[in-house]
Amino acid sequence: MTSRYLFLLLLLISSPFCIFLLHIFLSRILRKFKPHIAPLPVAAFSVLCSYPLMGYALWMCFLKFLTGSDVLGFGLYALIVYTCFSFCYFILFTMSETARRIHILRKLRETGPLSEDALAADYAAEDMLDVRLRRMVELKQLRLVKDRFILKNRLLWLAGTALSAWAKALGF
Amino acid sequence: MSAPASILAFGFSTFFCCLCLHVLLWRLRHPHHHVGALLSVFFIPGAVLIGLIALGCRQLTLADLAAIAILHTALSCAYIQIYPASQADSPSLKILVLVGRSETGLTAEEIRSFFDPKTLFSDRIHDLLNAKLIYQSGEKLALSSKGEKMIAPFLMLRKALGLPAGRG
Repeated sequence: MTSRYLFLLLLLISSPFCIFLLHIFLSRILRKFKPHIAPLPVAAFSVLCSYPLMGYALWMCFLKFLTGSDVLGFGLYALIVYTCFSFCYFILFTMSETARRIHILRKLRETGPLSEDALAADYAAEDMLDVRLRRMVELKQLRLVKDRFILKNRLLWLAGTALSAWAKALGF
Repeated sequence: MSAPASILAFGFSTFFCCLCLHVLLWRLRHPHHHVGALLSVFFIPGAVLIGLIALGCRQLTLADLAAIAILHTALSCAYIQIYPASQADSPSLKILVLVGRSETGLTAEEIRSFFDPKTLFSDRIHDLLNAKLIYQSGEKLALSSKGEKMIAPFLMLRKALGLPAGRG
């Protein structure tokens, strides 16, 4: 049983890499049929698709050998750990897509040293907001009605409000 | 307590202890290097607490302790990933909060008026200089070797996925 237990832990530790492999497969397949599909929904879809696959693997390798409340307890444990690691993978991918810092580092790597003005010109604040607004409409977080942006997803607004409150609690 | 219940209880307890320490330290003084400080606050005391659990609860096996450490690591990593959104004033979250507060929605112009174009960009440059990911080379900014190491995995990730560079 101990070896099965260790296998469960190893499977959970390696789960971000498993999601990465599934994401490569789905991203390449989906982009073949829909070349203009936005990358973030594909990433979210890959993470969601990985849940039943990982659930099945965990069941077969460990959970089905348990009895009583241990099935529920270890199932809950695996769900929490897997959700945290898949969330980390999704945020890491989101950083590669949206983070200003990553964009600046990539630009400097491509072009070599640049003045702050040249960098700012490449990354105009207006363009930055337009890109974000377009992406938020694509992701159905906002909708555009007669030139006005309206909130579509209340849950994300709550998350944003909670993060603002947390920032205040940390003294920012 | 059954083994999974103990693992969940100890894993969450070590995480919340580190989270409380983090809030306490940040309210006293904000660190210079946020990521390094966060890693220290979550993983050094976390390891000490797991060591104390190992000494205090002899019935826990090595595998149980590893499971506690993995749970603590997973929760800490998830928290560290969302931390920049609260620290660096994420524009996307700010847009969501602004639009959510307005009853009739906002136009793109109205949203722009809430942002200072200068700070949106210069704050990030300042962060990168602080973290030594870029450096001032005369009048210009250049990528440091640390920055090179930081950006490489992101480029590899996009390449493996067959995606062009993100637009930031």
